[in-house]
Amino acid sequence: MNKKRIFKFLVIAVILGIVGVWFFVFKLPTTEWYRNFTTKKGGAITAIELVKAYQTNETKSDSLYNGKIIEVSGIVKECTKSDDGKTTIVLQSADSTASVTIDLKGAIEPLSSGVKATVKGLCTGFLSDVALNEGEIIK
Amino acid sequence: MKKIIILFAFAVPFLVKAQKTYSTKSAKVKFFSHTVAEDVEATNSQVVCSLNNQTGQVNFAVLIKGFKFENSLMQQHFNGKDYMQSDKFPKSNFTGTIANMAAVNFAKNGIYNVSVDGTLTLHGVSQNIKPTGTITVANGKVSLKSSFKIKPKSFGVTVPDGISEELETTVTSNF
Repeated sequence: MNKKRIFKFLVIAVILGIVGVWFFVFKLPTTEWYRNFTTKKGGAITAIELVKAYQTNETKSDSLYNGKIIEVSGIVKECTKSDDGKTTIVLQSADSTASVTIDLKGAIEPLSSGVKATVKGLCTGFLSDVALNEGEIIK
Repeated sequence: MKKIIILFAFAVPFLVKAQKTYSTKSAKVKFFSHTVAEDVEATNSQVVCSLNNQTGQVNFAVLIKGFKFENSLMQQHFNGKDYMQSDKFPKSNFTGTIANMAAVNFAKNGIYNVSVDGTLTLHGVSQNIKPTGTITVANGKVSLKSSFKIKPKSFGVTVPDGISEELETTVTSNF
């Protein structure tokens, strides 16, 4: 009787273990909630300040913003939709050769150039522009 | 003599092919690897790429944190200190030259096979690679595509158990 109970307990424990690994390793990390919950937050900044910060000191700026969700506001320089439906917003800076480029999560109706926008997204660093992905428009 | 000089001045632009550097900030790099548990796949679509139609020089620059995985836990491990160490090595770049540039006619529609000889810098380590690919010219629009395999170990990246030692990498650039 005791052996039977132990066996049952072990079977249940193994099943719970498998389900737990599946849920916490393969299922939960694919959700938007998990992505937002586990990503560090980096505060709010204007596009002009962000580009200037990266042009002045890239290493310091990476430590402040790279890999973090930040809120960037500025004037829309360009808003395009790619063939695969992805929308990209480019916010202008004080330097005409460098901007903040944000790939949005979903497709939206393109914004007009010259309007003011605030976009939240994951900063991934600086090439010729400061890049953000996973973006969403706040206002 | 004056007429000859004037004629020559008008003819030069038609005789000499115009040098142009195509560039984009939205090229794509995708990699794929099969594992026992699940396939590892990530895409980065904020890649800076340039191609010179005379010298055949090709440049790519990629932000490592720009690779997006469906599973964000996998993305954290990829960027972490045991794998790509993207805080320490935030960028990867490739500089190369198309070896058979004479085979590509940018003025004529077609798909041209090219081979590139260049240096890939990843995880702070530079290695010579020779990928092949195609340049497509269609009504004045130029695009570049290449698929090649990378061995992370040769760039000093530790490959976790169960993950293939080679990453199938695809680069696509529409100029």
